Amino acid sequence: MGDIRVKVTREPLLLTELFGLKPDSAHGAVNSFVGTVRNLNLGRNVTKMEYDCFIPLCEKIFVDIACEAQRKWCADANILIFHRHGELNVGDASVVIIATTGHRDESYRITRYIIEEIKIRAPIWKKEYYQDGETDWVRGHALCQHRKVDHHEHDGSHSCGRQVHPHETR
Amino acid sequence: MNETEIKLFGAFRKYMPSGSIRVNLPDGVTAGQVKEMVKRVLQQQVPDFSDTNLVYESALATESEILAEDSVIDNQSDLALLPPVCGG
Repeated sequence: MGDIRVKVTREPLLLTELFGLKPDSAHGAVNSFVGTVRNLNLGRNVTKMEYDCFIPLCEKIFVDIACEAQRKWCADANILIFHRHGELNVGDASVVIIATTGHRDESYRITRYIIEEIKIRAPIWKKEYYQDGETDWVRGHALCQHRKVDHHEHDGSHSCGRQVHPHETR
Repeated sequence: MNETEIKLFGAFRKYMPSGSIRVNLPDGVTAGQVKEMVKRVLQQQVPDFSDTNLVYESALATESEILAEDSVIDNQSDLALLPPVCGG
Protein backbone atom coordinates (compact mmCIF):
# COMPACT_ATOMS: atom_id res chain seq x y z
CA MET A 1 0.00 0.00 0.00
CA GLY A 2 1.21 3.46 -0.84
CA ASP A 3 2.47 6.08 1.57
CA ILE A 4 0.48 9.25 2.43
CA ARG A 5 2.09 12.41 3.82
CA VAL A 6 0.05 15.52 4.66
CA LYS A 7 0.93 18.82 6.35
CA VAL A 8 -0.51 22.28 6.92
CA THR A 9 2.35 24.62 7.71
CA ARG A 10 3.36 28.27 8.08
CA GLU A 11 6.79 27.42 6.66
CA PRO A 12 7.56 28.07 2.98
CA LEU A 13 7.05 25.06 0.73
CA LEU A 14 10.53 24.36 -0.62
CA LEU A 15 10.01 22.61 -3.91
CA THR A 16 13.55 21.28 -4.09
CA GLU A 17 12.96 19.31 -0.88
CA LEU A 18 9.54 18.11 -1.94
CA PHE A 19 10.82 16.73 -5.19
CA GLY A 20 13.13 14.53 -3.17
CA LEU A 21 10.10 12.25 -2.72
CA LYS A 22 11.28 8.86 -3.93
CA PRO A 23 8.94 6.71 -6.01
CA ASP A 24 8.82 2.97 -5.44
CA SER A 25 10.94 0.91 -7.80
CA ALA A 26 7.68 -0.20 -9.45
CA HIS A 27 6.69 3.42 -10.09
CA GLY A 28 7.37 5.01 -13.44
CA ALA A 29 5.65 8.37 -12.89
CA VAL A 30 6.01 11.29 -10.47
CA ASN A 31 3.38 13.95 -11.02
CA SER A 32 3.11 17.24 -9.15
CA PHE A 33 0.70 20.14 -8.90
CA VAL A 34 1.81 23.42 -7.33
CA GLY A 35 -0.72 26.18 -6.63
CA THR A 36 0.72 29.69 -6.31
CA VAL A 37 -0.63 33.08 -5.24
CA ARG A 38 -1.81 35.04 -8.29
CA ASN A 39 -1.55 38.83 -8.58
CA LEU A 40 -5.03 39.28 -10.03
CA ASN A 41 -8.50 38.10 -8.99
CA LEU A 42 -11.78 39.24 -10.56
CA GLY A 43 -10.07 42.27 -12.03
CA ARG A 44 -8.45 43.44 -8.78
CA ASN A 45 -4.71 43.57 -8.23
CA VAL A 46 -3.75 41.30 -5.35
CA THR A 47 -0.59 42.13 -3.39
CA LYS A 48 -0.62 39.27 -0.86
CA MET A 49 -2.84 36.55 0.57
CA GLU A 50 -3.64 35.33 4.06
CA TYR A 51 -4.69 31.70 4.52
CA ASP A 52 -6.79 30.63 7.50
CA CYS A 53 -7.21 26.95 8.32
CA PHE A 54 -8.88 24.61 10.83
CA ILE A 55 -5.78 22.43 10.89
CA PRO A 56 -6.85 19.21 12.68
CA LEU A 57 -9.89 18.65 10.48
CA CYS A 58 -8.03 19.85 7.38
CA GLU A 59 -5.26 17.27 7.75
CA LYS A 60 -7.82 14.52 8.29
CA ILE A 61 -9.66 15.57 5.14
CA PHE A 62 -6.39 15.61 3.17
CA VAL A 63 -5.80 12.00 4.23
CA ASP A 64 -9.38 11.09 3.38
CA ILE A 65 -9.04 12.56 -0.12
CA ALA A 66 -5.70 10.81 -0.67
CA CYS A 67 -7.21 7.47 0.38
CA GLU A 68 -10.06 7.99 -2.05
CA ALA A 69 -7.60 8.67 -4.85
CA GLN A 70 -5.68 5.50 -4.06
CA ARG A 71 -8.90 3.47 -4.10
CA LYS A 72 -9.98 4.99 -7.42
CA TRP A 73 -6.75 4.71 -9.39
CA CYS A 74 -3.74 3.17 -7.70
CA ALA A 75 -3.66 1.49 -4.28
CA ASP A 76 0.12 1.72 -4.02
CA ALA A 77 0.39 5.38 -5.05
CA ASN A 78 2.59 7.50 -2.80
CA ILE A 79 0.84 10.80 -2.19
CA LEU A 80 2.05 14.03 -0.61
CA ILE A 81 -0.24 16.99 0.17
CA PHE A 82 1.30 20.09 1.77
CA HIS A 83 -0.64 23.37 2.20
CA ARG A 84 0.42 26.72 3.61
CA HIS A 85 -1.41 28.89 6.09
CA GLY A 86 -0.61 32.39 7.27
CA GLU A 87 0.53 35.24 5.02
CA LEU A 88 1.86 34.54 1.51
CA ASN A 89 3.23 36.85 -1.14
CA VAL A 90 2.37 36.80 -4.82
CA GLY A 91 4.18 33.87 -6.44
CA ASP A 92 4.54 31.85 -3.23
CA ALA A 93 3.48 28.22 -3.37
CA SER A 94 0.25 27.76 -1.40
CA VAL A 95 -0.25 24.04 -2.05
CA VAL A 96 1.88 21.19 -3.35
CA ILE A 97 0.48 17.80 -4.37
CA ILE A 98 2.73 14.98 -5.55
CA ALA A 99 1.73 11.47 -6.62
CA THR A 100 4.07 8.65 -7.61
CA THR A 101 2.43 5.75 -9.46
CA GLY A 102 3.18 2.88 -11.79
CA HIS A 103 2.07 4.73 -14.90
CA ARG A 104 1.54 8.37 -15.86
CA ASP A 105 -2.22 8.29 -16.39
CA GLU A 106 -3.15 7.59 -12.77
CA SER A 107 -0.61 10.09 -11.49
CA TYR A 108 -2.27 12.86 -13.54
CA ARG A 109 -5.73 11.75 -12.42
CA ILE A 110 -4.74 11.60 -8.76
CA THR A 111 -3.20 15.08 -8.57
CA ARG A 112 -6.15 16.60 -10.46
CA TYR A 113 -8.68 14.84 -8.24
CA ILE A 114 -6.94 15.95 -5.07
CA ILE A 115 -6.73 19.66 -5.90
CA GLU A 116 -10.36 19.76 -7.07
CA GLU A 117 -11.53 18.06 -3.86
CA ILE A 118 -9.37 20.29 -1.65
CA LYS A 119 -11.06 23.34 -3.13
CA ILE A 120 -14.53 22.22 -2.08
CA ARG A 121 -13.86 20.13 1.05
CA ALA A 122 -10.80 21.34 2.97
CA PRO A 123 -11.50 23.89 5.76
CA ILE A 124 -9.24 26.60 4.33
CA TRP A 125 -10.06 30.27 3.69
CA LYS A 126 -8.30 33.06 1.79
CA LYS A 127 -8.15 36.75 2.59
CA GLU A 128 -6.97 38.87 -0.33
CA TYR A 129 -5.04 42.13 0.11
CA TYR A 130 -5.53 44.52 -2.80
CA GLN A 131 -3.32 47.21 -4.25
CA ASP A 132 -5.84 49.91 -3.23
CA GLY A 133 -5.42 48.93 0.45
CA GLU A 134 -8.73 47.06 0.79
CA THR A 135 -9.03 43.44 1.89
CA ASP A 136 -11.70 40.79 1.45
CA TRP A 137 -12.31 37.15 2.38
CA VAL A 138 -12.92 35.06 -0.73
CA ARG A 139 -16.40 33.52 -0.74
CA GLY A 140 -16.14 29.79 -1.49
CA HIS A 141 -18.03 26.50 -1.38
CA ALA A 142 -20.35 25.56 1.48
CA LEU A 143 -19.31 22.39 3.30
CA CYS A 144 -21.70 19.44 3.46
CA GLN A 145 -22.05 16.92 6.25
CA HIS A 146 -22.08 14.01 3.79
CA ARG A 147 -18.44 14.81 3.16
CA LYS A 148 -17.62 14.11 6.80
CA VAL A 149 -14.41 12.41 7.84
CA ASP A 150 -14.70 9.05 9.53
CA HIS A 151 -14.09 9.94 13.18
CA HIS A 152 -13.05 6.36 13.94
CA GLU A 153 -9.84 7.08 12.01
CA HIS A 154 -8.16 9.12 14.74
CA ASP A 155 -5.53 6.50 15.62
CA GLY A 156 -3.43 7.07 12.52
CA SER A 157 -5.00 4.15 10.65
CA HIS A 158 -7.44 5.28 7.97
CA SER A 159 -10.15 3.56 6.02
CA CYS A 160 -7.73 2.67 3.25
CA GLY A 161 -5.87 0.56 5.82
CA ARG A 162 -2.51 2.28 6.03
CA GLN A 163 -0.58 4.42 8.42
CA VAL A 164 -0.24 8.07 7.50
CA HIS A 165 2.26 10.67 8.52
CA PRO A 166 0.75 14.02 9.40
CA HIS A 167 3.51 16.51 10.12
CA GLU A 168 3.32 18.73 13.15
CA THR A 169 4.80 21.94 11.77
CA ARG A 170 2.14 24.61 12.34
CA MET B 1 -26.24 24.33 30.30
CA ASN B 2 -22.55 24.33 29.34
CA GLU B 3 -20.59 27.41 28.31
CA THR B 4 -18.69 26.34 25.21
CA GLU B 5 -16.14 28.06 23.02
CA ILE B 6 -16.81 27.89 19.30
CA LYS B 7 -13.92 28.67 16.97
CA LEU B 8 -14.63 30.98 14.04
CA PHE B 9 -12.71 31.10 10.76
CA GLY B 10 -12.47 32.98 7.49
CA ALA B 11 -14.95 35.82 7.02
CA PHE B 12 -16.12 35.49 10.63
CA ARG B 13 -12.79 36.93 11.72
CA LYS B 14 -13.70 40.39 10.43
CA TYR B 15 -16.55 40.42 12.95
CA MET B 16 -14.79 38.54 15.76
CA PRO B 17 -11.01 39.02 15.39
CA SER B 18 -10.37 36.87 18.46
CA GLY B 19 -11.45 33.90 16.37
CA SER B 20 -13.89 32.45 18.88
CA ILE B 21 -17.19 33.06 20.59
CA ARG B 22 -18.67 31.65 23.80
CA VAL B 23 -22.23 30.36 23.98
CA ASN B 24 -24.27 28.50 26.58
CA LEU B 25 -25.37 25.22 25.09
CA PRO B 26 -28.33 23.44 26.66
CA ASP B 27 -28.34 19.66 26.80
CA GLY B 28 -29.62 18.04 23.63
CA VAL B 29 -28.99 21.07 21.40
CA THR B 30 -28.50 20.35 17.69
CA ALA B 31 -25.87 21.74 15.33
CA GLY B 32 -28.53 23.79 13.54
CA GLN B 33 -29.66 25.31 16.83
CA VAL B 34 -26.06 26.15 17.73
CA LYS B 35 -25.74 28.08 14.47
CA GLU B 36 -28.85 30.09 15.40
CA MET B 37 -27.32 30.83 18.81
CA VAL B 38 -24.05 31.98 17.22
CA LYS B 39 -26.00 34.25 14.88
CA ARG B 40 -27.83 35.87 17.81
CA VAL B 41 -24.61 36.39 19.79
CA LEU B 42 -22.95 38.01 16.78
CA GLN B 43 -25.96 40.27 16.29
CA GLN B 44 -25.81 41.27 19.97
CA GLN B 45 -22.05 41.77 20.21
CA VAL B 46 -21.10 43.08 16.77
CA PRO B 47 -23.02 46.22 15.75
CA ASP B 48 -22.17 45.97 12.04
CA PHE B 49 -22.92 42.26 11.70
CA SER B 50 -25.72 41.75 9.18
CA ASP B 51 -24.39 38.84 7.09
CA THR B 52 -26.74 36.20 8.48
CA ASN B 53 -26.33 34.17 5.28
CA LEU B 54 -22.71 33.61 6.29
CA VAL B 55 -23.98 31.69 9.33
CA TYR B 56 -26.57 29.73 7.37
CA GLU B 57 -24.01 28.76 4.70
CA SER B 58 -21.57 27.58 7.38
CA ALA B 59 -21.17 24.11 8.86
CA LEU B 60 -20.60 23.24 12.48
CA ALA B 61 -17.71 20.83 12.92
CA THR B 62 -15.43 19.17 15.42
CA GLU B 63 -11.74 18.48 14.90
CA SER B 64 -12.66 15.18 13.25
CA GLU B 65 -15.95 15.66 11.38
CA ILE B 66 -18.48 18.01 9.86
CA LEU B 67 -21.78 17.80 11.71
CA ALA B 68 -25.23 17.47 10.16
CA GLU B 69 -27.76 20.15 11.10
CA ASP B 70 -29.68 17.64 13.22
CA SER B 71 -26.62 16.23 15.01
CA VAL B 72 -27.01 16.47 18.77
CA ILE B 73 -24.10 18.23 20.45
CA ASP B 74 -22.98 16.19 23.41
CA ASN B 75 -20.14 17.46 25.59
CA GLN B 76 -18.17 18.77 22.63
CA SER B 77 -15.24 20.99 23.53
CA ASP B 78 -13.76 21.41 20.07
CA LEU B 79 -16.58 23.02 18.06
CA ALA B 80 -15.89 25.25 15.09
CA LEU B 81 -18.14 27.12 12.67
CA LEU B 82 -16.78 26.78 9.14
CA PRO B 83 -17.87 29.24 6.44
CA PRO B 84 -17.73 28.28 2.73
CA VAL B 85 -14.19 27.14 1.89
CA CYS B 86 -11.70 28.07 -0.84
CA GLY B 87 -8.41 26.25 -0.37
CA GLY B 88 -5.70 25.72 -2.93
